[in-house]
Amino acid sequence: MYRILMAIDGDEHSERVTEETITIAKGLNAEVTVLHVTGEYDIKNRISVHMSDDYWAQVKKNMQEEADKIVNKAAEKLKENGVKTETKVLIGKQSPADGICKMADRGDFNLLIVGSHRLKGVREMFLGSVSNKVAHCTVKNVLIVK
Amino acid sequence: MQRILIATDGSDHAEKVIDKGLVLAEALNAEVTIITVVGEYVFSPRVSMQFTNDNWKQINQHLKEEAEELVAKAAKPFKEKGLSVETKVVIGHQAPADAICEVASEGNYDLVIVGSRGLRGVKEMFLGSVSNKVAHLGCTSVMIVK
Repeated sequence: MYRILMAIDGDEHSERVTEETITIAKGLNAEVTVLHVTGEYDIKNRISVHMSDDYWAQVKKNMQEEADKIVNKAAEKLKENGVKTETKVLIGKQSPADGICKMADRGDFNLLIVGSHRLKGVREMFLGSVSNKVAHCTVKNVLIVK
Repeated sequence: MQRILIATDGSDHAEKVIDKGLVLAEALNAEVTIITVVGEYVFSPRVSMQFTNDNWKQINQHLKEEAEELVAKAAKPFKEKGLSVETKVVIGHQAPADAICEVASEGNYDLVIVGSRGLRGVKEMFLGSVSNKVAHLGCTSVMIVK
């Protein structure tokens, strides 16, 4: 069975990534795992040190709900098109790229599909895009959807 | 993803790229073009400085013949599967990534498939410079075969 890991961040471009994944998955009769990675990296350190444990628990709960919405929306679309689909949410301390690579390399996937989410200007110079980082950190074949 | 551009350089790793490209092209019933880019970039400036115009003519002729053989060989399995396949050889001053992107944009390709390693493997231990640059230029969707 051909297995695809599709990582999305929930922005508009995720829809295009989902569409391309549907095309490929149908052609290859593949199973798709929809992944969304989120977590503490989203909040600046300066802010997060002031957050109490209770507050953190609340934030994490919100993150989980938000993430579930993102993966479920995409999974529905895949299923509508007859693609066998699972979902996975990763909430942690790692960056999205590291989380995606960890998932991709741990699982038995043939292909990783991500969107070419480009940061603007100076931020890209320093951080690089998520897709670029993913292309470097995974050992799997990667398809970057423009 | 109807039109796929597959880049090869004749390295061992490029065979893997062709294999993966074949699977995907067959699944999507895509039109395929096999491209290879050769030219001055293969020589270090210290070497190429010594060449006369006549030398260059001869070298380019030789590179062209070699490249045409290479793409013809790579196209074979696609033909055998009954897929529509073309070949393209680019000879020039450009870096391979720039040439690949240019062809991809002008030819309205939906996807470029490149290998993560190539002939100059050791220099780029984690991700080949060509695949990295193609991904970064963002001319089209890119699949990087590891």
